[in-house]
Amino acid sequence: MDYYVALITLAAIQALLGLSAHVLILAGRVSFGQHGFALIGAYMAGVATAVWGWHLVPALLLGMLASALVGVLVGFPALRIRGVYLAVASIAFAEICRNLVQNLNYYRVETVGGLVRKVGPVGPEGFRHIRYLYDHGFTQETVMAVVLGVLALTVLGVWLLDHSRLGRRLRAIGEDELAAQMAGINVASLTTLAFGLGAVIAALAGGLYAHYLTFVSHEVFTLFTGTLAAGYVLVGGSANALGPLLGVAFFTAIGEGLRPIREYRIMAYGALIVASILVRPYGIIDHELLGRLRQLVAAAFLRSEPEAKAMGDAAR
Amino acid sequence: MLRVENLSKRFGGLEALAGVDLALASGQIVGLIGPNGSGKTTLINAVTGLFPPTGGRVLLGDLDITRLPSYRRIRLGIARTFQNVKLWTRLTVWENLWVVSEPGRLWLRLGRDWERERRLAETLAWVGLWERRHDLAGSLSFGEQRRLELARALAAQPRVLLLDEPGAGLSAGELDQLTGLLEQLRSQGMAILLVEHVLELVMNIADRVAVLNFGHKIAEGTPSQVQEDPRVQEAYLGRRSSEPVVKPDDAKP
Repeated sequence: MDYYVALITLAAIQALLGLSAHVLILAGRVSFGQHGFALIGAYMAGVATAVWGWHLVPALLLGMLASALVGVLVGFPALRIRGVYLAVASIAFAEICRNLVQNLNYYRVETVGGLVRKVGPVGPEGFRHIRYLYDHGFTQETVMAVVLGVLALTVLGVWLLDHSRLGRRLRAIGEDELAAQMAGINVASLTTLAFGLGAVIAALAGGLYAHYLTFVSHEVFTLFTGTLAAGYVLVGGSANALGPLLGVAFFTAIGEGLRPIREYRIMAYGALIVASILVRPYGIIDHELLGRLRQLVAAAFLRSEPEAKAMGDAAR
Repeated sequence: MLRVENLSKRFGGLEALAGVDLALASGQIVGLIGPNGSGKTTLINAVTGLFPPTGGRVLLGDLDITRLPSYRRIRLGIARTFQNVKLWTRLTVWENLWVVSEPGRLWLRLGRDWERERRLAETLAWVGLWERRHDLAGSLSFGEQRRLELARALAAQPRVLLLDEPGAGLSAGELDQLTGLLEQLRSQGMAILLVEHVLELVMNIADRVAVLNFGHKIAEGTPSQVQEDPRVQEAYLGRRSSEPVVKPDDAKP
């Protein structure tokens, strides 16, 4: 049972990271550096609760705020680059973050039962004893519930964003930036905003991760994490906010399901990812599937057809 | 409405525009023609702010917009289409319009703006795409995509419309349809700049025609004046001024 609780909690945190990459992919930017923002969120929120003794909620918010500021700061100069160049720049950014925390010493020393321990980031040793949740009576199950709740709210938020004019403008930028610019869309500010939002969601994922596992270090947030975040969206599909979740489900299912074949696992893992991209090049949920689902829903409920008809009449 | 004064643009050693003057009034269609590479699209790009001009000014009404970023120019009432249609193919037909209507307005708003939606519905119906509003823009035929691009340009309620070869690739029937639409827009007071290779379209509906060649404006006048201008014939056909008047078909690229 504990195994499934841990699996679901970690998968939900991964899904948050996927959603953070998704927001950027809406604007046509594929980032492989979202783990850099997760790392900022994890360290910032961890320091706030473990070193400063803050409540968890403001600590997470602080991490998100710090990450958003960094996101806007790196997003703005990154506006002009896309594709492979942005991918490399985002990786470089995350590596800088990792190097910084590897040299970050900011801890308090406490003695518990005769044992001296350092609470806070201790350079390359990492950041131990982020015990807020377990000091406040949370169990593995309640943490899972909290993480799932946060994920549900985030999915809802991203879905609402996607269906707002702002979100559709981001998609317009992603589809054809020149046309967006020439249609009066402020490409620079909206893309910067996407960087900021992506950074916020990644920081939330990082903060939750740190408090769930009580330990983070520069070795936790590696390029593998950042690559997977983008991979969830590319495999799950970016047509809908549920795409990244399906991506996580897919990766988790093959990652766990292949355990019985032991050392062949990584090989099969790679093969299945390639197969999924061949079968569904635009992801599991692509625009075509979404369009068909929409038609099914419209046919089932005849939603807003009278109103559409009224508008059609007005138009004639 | 729109005035271009002494506009120049250099790309390295290439002078794409060399001091071009052009004026565009409300309720007027001005045709802009010229051989390939004569600077027609460069002019539209400079007016819409895709790149800064090397010299000269662009005025919208009395406002000097030469140095404004392009999104602000568009919000002031300039709209354009592209030579090779540029739609957001994975947004629906409706969303292509919805996204750009009132681009300057804050996006935070609860509920729907019925007034705006009714106006967009009218625009879509006007170009004959209302029935296809839920389809992805990429699924439309080429002619439909051209019409959608025109509708998208109108969605932001511009005062000046810059059309970059709207007739390219259209069938004869579609060209007639386009002519009708443009005439209606003119009667509503729109200022339209029509950059076109299909000379028939320009000669049919333009009030005035300007001719560019190697970045210089070599002629301007009514369609018939321009057709008879020997410099124009030379630009299109080469130097043999004993040749007959430029026929639209001969001038196609």
